[in-house]
Amino acid sequence: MNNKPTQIDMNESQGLEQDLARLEMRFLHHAEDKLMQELKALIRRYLERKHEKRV
Amino acid sequence: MTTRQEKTFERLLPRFRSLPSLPSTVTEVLNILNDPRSSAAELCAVIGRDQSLTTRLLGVVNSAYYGFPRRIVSLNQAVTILGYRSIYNIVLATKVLGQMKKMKGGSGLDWDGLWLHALSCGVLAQSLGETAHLAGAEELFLAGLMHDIGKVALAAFLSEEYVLAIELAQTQAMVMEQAELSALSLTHAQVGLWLAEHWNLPPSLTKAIGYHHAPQSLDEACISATVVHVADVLARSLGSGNPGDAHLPRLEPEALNMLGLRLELMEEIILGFDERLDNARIFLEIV
Repeated sequence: MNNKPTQIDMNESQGLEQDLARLEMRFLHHAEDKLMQELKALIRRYLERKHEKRV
Repeated sequence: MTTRQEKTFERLLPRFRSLPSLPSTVTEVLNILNDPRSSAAELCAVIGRDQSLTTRLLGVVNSAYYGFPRRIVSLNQAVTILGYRSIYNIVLATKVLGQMKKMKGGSGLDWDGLWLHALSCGVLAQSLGETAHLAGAEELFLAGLMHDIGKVALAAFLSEEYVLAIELAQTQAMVMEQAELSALSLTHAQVGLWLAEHWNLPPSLTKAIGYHHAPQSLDEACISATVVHVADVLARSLGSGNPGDAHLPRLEPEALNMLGLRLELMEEIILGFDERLDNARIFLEIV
C-alpha cells in the first residue's frame, strides 16, 4: 500500500493525529540532532494549541 | 562546474536569455531611492507612466494588508505615507511576481503549494527580522517570497527532469536539493541565483535566493540569506505549503547565533504566524 501523502494531504491541516504524523515524517532525518528535536517540540506545541482552539 | 552541470546549464541558457529583463521602472525607482536629491514628484512621475503598476500599487496600499483607516487616492499620498523604500519593495514585488507568473505552468510543480510555502517563508522572514531588530524587515519578506524562484524556472524550462526530481524527493525521502542534483545536477538555488543576477535584483535578494540552503558558505556573512534559511526551515517545519519534498533540511545552529536568536524566541513568531499569513495573502492577491 502506498502511504505517500498527496499534495493536498501535505498542505491541508486535518486532525491533530495526522498533523503530528506528518511532523514526525518531516523530521525523520534529524532524530539525532538536538536543535532539530527542540524545533520539533516547539512545532508540536503549536499544533496542539491550534487544535485545542478548534475544539 | 562539472561536465553534466555545464550541459544542463547550456540547455537552460537560451531559455534564460529569452526571458525579458525586469521593466526599466524598477531600475528607475531604485535610482530615485538611492539619490538623496530626488523628490517624491520624480518618483510619482516614473510610477505614474505605468498605469497597471499604479493601479496595483494603490490597491496594495488600500488593502487590509496595510489597514490604513482612510482611502489613499493618489500616488503622492502613497509615497508620503509609506516612504520610498516601501514603494520600491511593492514595485519590485509586482514586477518580479509578474515574471514568475509568466513561467507558471511547469509540469510536476504544485504551484499553489509552492506559492503558499514562499508566502509563509516571506512572512516568517519578516517576523524574524523584526524579532532580531534587523533593519529592512520588509525586504526580508520579499527575500522569503522569492527564495524558490529557481524551482519555478526549472519546472518551466526543464520540466521532464524536474518531474523526476520531485518524484525522487517524494519516493526516496530526499530533500529537494539532493533530488535536483540527482536528476539535473543543478539545484534550484543555483538556478535562482542566475535568474536573480539576470534580473539585476538587489544583492541582498540575490544572495538570499542563491544561498538560503547554505548561508555559511558565503565568504561574507549575509543577513538576508541567513534569515531566509531559518524562515525556510521554519515554514517547512510548520508544514505550510508544499516546497516539493516532505523532509526538512537541517537548521544551521550558526544561523541562529548570527541573528542573536534562540529557539524560545521563535515561539512568539510561530504563535503570530497564522494571522500574519492571512494578511500577506491579501498582499499577494493584489500584486
